[in-house]
Amino acid sequence: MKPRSFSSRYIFLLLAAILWIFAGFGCGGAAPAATEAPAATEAPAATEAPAATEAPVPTDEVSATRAPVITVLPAIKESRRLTLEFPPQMRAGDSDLIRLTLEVDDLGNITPTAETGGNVIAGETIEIPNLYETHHVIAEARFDMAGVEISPPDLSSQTLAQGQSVTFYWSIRPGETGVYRGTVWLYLRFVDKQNGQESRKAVSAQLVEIEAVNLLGLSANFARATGVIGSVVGTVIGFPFFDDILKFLVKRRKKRGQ
Amino acid sequence: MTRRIRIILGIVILAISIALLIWGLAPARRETRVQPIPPSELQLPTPESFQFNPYSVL
Repeated sequence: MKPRSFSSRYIFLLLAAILWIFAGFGCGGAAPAATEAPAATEAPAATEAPAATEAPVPTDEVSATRAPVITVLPAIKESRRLTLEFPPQMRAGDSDLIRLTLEVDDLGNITPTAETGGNVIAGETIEIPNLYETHHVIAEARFDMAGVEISPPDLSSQTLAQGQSVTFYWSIRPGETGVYRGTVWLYLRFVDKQNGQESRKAVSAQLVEIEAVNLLGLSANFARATGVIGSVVGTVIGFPFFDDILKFLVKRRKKRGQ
Repeated sequence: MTRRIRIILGIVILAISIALLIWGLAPARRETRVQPIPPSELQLPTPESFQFNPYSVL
């Protein structure tokens, strides 16, 4: 029994060692290929347009005779900033505004450059077609929040022009106290000016949490009304000169009446 | 004595009423979130961009 168990263990160790040796060869064989690649593309880098979409491992003959096909999609050449403004806490029964602005970021600086093999940056600018010239760009926004009155409740759309900002407003009114959670969605819809083909892309989804509160169970309207009435009553009762003024006015009326 | 009690009562009512008015008329605090959107997010949708993770843009 013992010799059999030893022999199977030796066979297993032998197989493991063979596999390990093959794996070592495999890894070692791949490494030189990666380091050789830059040498093959060094020559065409100086003379040809850089390849933006192709893998940069062509042979010398191919890269010298054939220009690489560059398929660049039209793009928006501006950086933008999305600003969401909302009240994290508000009075139950009152209404408030939520504002979403998509504005141009003046600090955004975009210079698309191409990269050749071997991580050498050629520094050539790729001419990207302006998306505003080829497509109608429409910004769409929606605010979802359960248990709260929202106006407008549906999707709002505005045309996005180059260099201009768009702003969306929602009016919200929580009827009862509690914590409400919702999402502000922003989409971009692209309509091709030539064939009318539409495509849509979600740009942002921001979670919003709004807490509706009241004061000791009093609604906002009741608190305001009580405040106004209480202020008048407290002023009349608390300040003695108001009492004197009232007495003076009553006496004057009585004198006029006589 | 009655006059003093009346004045104190009036001041208390006035203070409570003013507190109610301040709470009822004070503008709500507003929170502003600014999210920079790189040009890559404003491009035509590609097959990769169909998979949208809302938590990735927060």
